[in-house]
Amino acid sequence: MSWELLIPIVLGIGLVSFSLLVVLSRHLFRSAVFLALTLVFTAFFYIFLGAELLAGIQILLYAGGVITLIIFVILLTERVKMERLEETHRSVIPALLASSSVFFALIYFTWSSPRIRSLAVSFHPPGFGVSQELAESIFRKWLLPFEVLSLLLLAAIVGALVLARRDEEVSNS
Amino acid sequence: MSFLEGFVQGIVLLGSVLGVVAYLTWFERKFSGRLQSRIGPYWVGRPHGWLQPIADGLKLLAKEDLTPLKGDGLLFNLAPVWVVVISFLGFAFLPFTSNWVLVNIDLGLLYFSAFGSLIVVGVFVAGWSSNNKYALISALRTAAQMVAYEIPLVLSLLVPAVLVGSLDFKDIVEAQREGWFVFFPFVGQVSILVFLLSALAEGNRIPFDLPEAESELVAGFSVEYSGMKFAYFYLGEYVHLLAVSLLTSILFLGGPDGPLFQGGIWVAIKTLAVFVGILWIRWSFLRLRIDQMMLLNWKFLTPLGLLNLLIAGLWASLNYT
Repeated sequence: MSWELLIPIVLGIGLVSFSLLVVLSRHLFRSAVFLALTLVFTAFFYIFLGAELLAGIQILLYAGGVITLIIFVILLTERVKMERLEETHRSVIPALLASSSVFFALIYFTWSSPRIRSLAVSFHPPGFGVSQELAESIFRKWLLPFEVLSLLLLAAIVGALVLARRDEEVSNS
Repeated sequence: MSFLEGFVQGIVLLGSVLGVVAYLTWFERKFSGRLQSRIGPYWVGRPHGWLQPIADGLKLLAKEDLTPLKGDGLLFNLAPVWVVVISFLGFAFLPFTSNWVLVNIDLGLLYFSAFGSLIVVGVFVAGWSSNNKYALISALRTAAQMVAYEIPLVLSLLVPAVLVGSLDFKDIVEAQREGWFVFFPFVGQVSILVFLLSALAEGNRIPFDLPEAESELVAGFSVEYSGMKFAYFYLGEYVHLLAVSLLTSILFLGGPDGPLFQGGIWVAIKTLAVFVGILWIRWSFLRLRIDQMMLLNWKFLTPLGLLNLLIAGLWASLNYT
């Protein structure tokens, strides 16, 4: 077996087992750590498929940023409520049904759609994943949507601040 | 480069970084000793105690391996491995000479900072899974500090990238043949200052060692760790220091460029010089208070880094067509 076939198998086993651990862990903190590992493994998949820029951003933003935020929130709420947040696994069967139907629907559409299959054949389109190409398209071609999006994020931050502040006033009075 | 070739090169790189780090701890003890009018390690391996790192390593290997009963055993054992692996990963993207780098991609700078941002998760896990109040407080302090100082760190790392117009370390090194970035008027000096200060804070080194503050928090997030697992955190810290010194020499001090000859020897000399500077800071300054630490970041380093990046961007947009 060549290593080009071996690597996706190893990565896939890792990815699936860490994803299962995220769902099956009894404690939220463990789930968050396994989620970090899952995201890192997804990034390895991106590297294997030639999307190096996407993998770097995945690690920087999701595994580095979002996971830190999630862990921070878990620690702070646990300290405030002074109780261990345990996962009790309610409604296992509906969850299993819903997730497996999504899984099979995804597989079905991936296999049946000719557009997705044609994407799978062209492994490395020229200029794919190169930072210069991406910068060209973000900051020249799609500059206006990009800026509108940043405005939306700014509005979200300001809104979150306003909500947090109002809460404080209520508790003080 | 074939798969096997890359594998062997990776092993060699890992081994040499480990060896260099072992002797950096020896060098730090000797240098600190001299600064404080002591002699430092002396007895193990005469002259000058050169066998001390090996003796330390053997001692740590032989120590009892403890896991707190009420802690989270799995995560407790995962955390040191996480920190060490992530610290070493950054070296794969750093060029040691003008043409040798283990992973040759055009996004070296992005990957280096991406893996750097993962270390905080390991520290957090260590503090939480120890089931110890000192460790938890330390982990929360570390998270606040590392996440905050990540911003000026990346802002200062971006300045050479903007000046060159590339995220590739090799392009950055190549561009400095005409002039090292540390001599670039205003922008260069500000960014090296911001970079070194925030890198010290990221590595919990002395003016910013609040997470480990011995007198307040015993030893911080690693208080429950013993033996080799403790050594992993120690190793991670020194690997981080080595990476910071190496990165400074590559990004700001011209890398392998230098008078008389060119090559890896200049990288080594510059890295050692930056490391000595960091040690000097360790024995010259006191620990900051937590509010001073936050003030320095949010009211000084981050605005300065933003302004600096803006000036660098203006210069770059005027010079590129």
